[in-house]
Amino acid sequence: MTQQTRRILQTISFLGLVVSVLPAFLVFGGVVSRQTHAHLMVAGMLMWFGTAIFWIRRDHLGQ
Amino acid sequence: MSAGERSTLVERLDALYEYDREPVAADKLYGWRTFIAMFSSEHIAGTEFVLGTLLVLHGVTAFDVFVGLAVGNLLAVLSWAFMCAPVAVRERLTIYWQIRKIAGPYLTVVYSGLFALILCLLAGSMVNVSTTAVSLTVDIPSPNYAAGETVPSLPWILVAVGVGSVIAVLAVLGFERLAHFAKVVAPWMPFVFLAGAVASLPSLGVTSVGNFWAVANEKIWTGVPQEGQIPYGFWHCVGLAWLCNIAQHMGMGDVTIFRYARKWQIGFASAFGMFIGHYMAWICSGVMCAAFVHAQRAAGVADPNPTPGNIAMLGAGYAGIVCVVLAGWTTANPTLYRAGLAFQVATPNWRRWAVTLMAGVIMVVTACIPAVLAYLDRIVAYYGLFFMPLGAFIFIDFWLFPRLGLMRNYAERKGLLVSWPAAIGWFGSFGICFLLYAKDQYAGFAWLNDRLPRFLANYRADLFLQVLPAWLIAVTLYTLCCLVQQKLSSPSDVGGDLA
Repeated sequence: MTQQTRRILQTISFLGLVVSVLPAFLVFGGVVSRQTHAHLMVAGMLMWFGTAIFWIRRDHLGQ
Repeated sequence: MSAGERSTLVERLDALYEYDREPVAADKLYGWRTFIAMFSSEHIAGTEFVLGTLLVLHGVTAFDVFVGLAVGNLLAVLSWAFMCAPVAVRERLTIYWQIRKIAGPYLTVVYSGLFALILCLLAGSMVNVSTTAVSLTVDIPSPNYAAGETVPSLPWILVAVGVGSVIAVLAVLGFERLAHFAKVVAPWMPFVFLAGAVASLPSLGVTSVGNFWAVANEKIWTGVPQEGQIPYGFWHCVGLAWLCNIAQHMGMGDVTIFRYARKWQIGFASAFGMFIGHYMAWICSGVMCAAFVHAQRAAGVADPNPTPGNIAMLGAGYAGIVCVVLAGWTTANPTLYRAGLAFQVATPNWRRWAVTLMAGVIMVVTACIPAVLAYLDRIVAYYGLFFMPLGAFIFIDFWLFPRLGLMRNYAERKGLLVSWPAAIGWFGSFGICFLLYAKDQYAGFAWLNDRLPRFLANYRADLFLQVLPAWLIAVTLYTLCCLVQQKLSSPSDVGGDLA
């Protein structure tokens, strides 16, 4: 995997985390509905899992 | 059992851990980043959905949760940093070899066997957590233990067997790839907890940060336990947060991990695991639990059932369901794998897959007992108190014995199969603490109050408040017995080789 690909994947992953958590604060502020929040959380989840699996490495600590 | 068979048992156990018999080499050490990532990911699991909920149901106050959990988690971090990590980086050996040196091979076998059993129980509770989410998606209600449903319905059992079978088969196939997947899941999970809680706050009446504290005390952590639940308070929160990983820190289980640390100060990396997993996540699951109960009561449900699946669905929708399934699954799998590893010792002619499947059967049976989740906090406390003494011996053996003029690693140096001081300290400490708790909790032990000295009869011991008494009793019994043991042996045996 090239450095650039890795950076793109990481960016999408972190955006996925933002999409997962930000709508909750928007629900709290009365900006979006709980239904929208739930949909966006699924979208954030797909963004995270679709990309993070490729760049997160496994460490070995004797487990 | 013949002497030959006994030695075979010990040899098998040794062979199992042979690869990590030597101290870790200097070029294989890791720094802060690795340990922060590891603790952040390993201490957020499906059971966090349960423990935060239990605190709400047991009627703690908001102060108890926010301050009590902070104190308890701080104590846990300090225990890792000042007790576990310093010994780990000096010895650089696994817990297995450290116990074997001071307690002898037979007690190590007992430790491994019992540890495997408790691992199966814990894996079962994680399968139970996952099943509450899977069953929700197929419209099968989870058993409501608080409402008297002590046995799940047949469809729910079938779902649990299905979930448990997948986990068992994956554990049989090996967990390398799954361990990688667990590492991918871990950073995402805290965000689900946080999002679920924040999105649930408006339904409880929290409209701004300013009125959070008032609503938290009125509707979330009310100080009033649900019907049939024992009331918990500040010290229960402290005790639970400190106890729930005690087998790893004061019990020294994590010397196996910290032997890879460059320096002992890396023990403070545990703060990331504690304050994300056992502080933020417990508080968030408490909020989601209260929101679920509040919504159900408003809908006219007399006995709401705040299972992990139900509260996650309400707080975070289908992403919450996926989180519950994965949180249970990714933690149950390595747990089951390790249980299989430990059981393998006691089943000489069994193949590895058969042993892991046997552990899987125990796990699935456990998953079908609703009481396991209802009493998870107590199970965790028993587990911690039972396995902690052996870690206390390692600590005392390392720091105190040279100062007392006692020989370290006596069992190993003398070739003892069993260290009787370790046996007395281990079972004596747990037995005394259990009896002090049981005399006020179980009718069968009430007679103890008539026979104990007044100060002990008046002592109201709670399981969560036994950390210090258990540790002190364990090290006192162990040290006194070691003094007797080593003073009784000839001086030439003891002197001159203390370190």
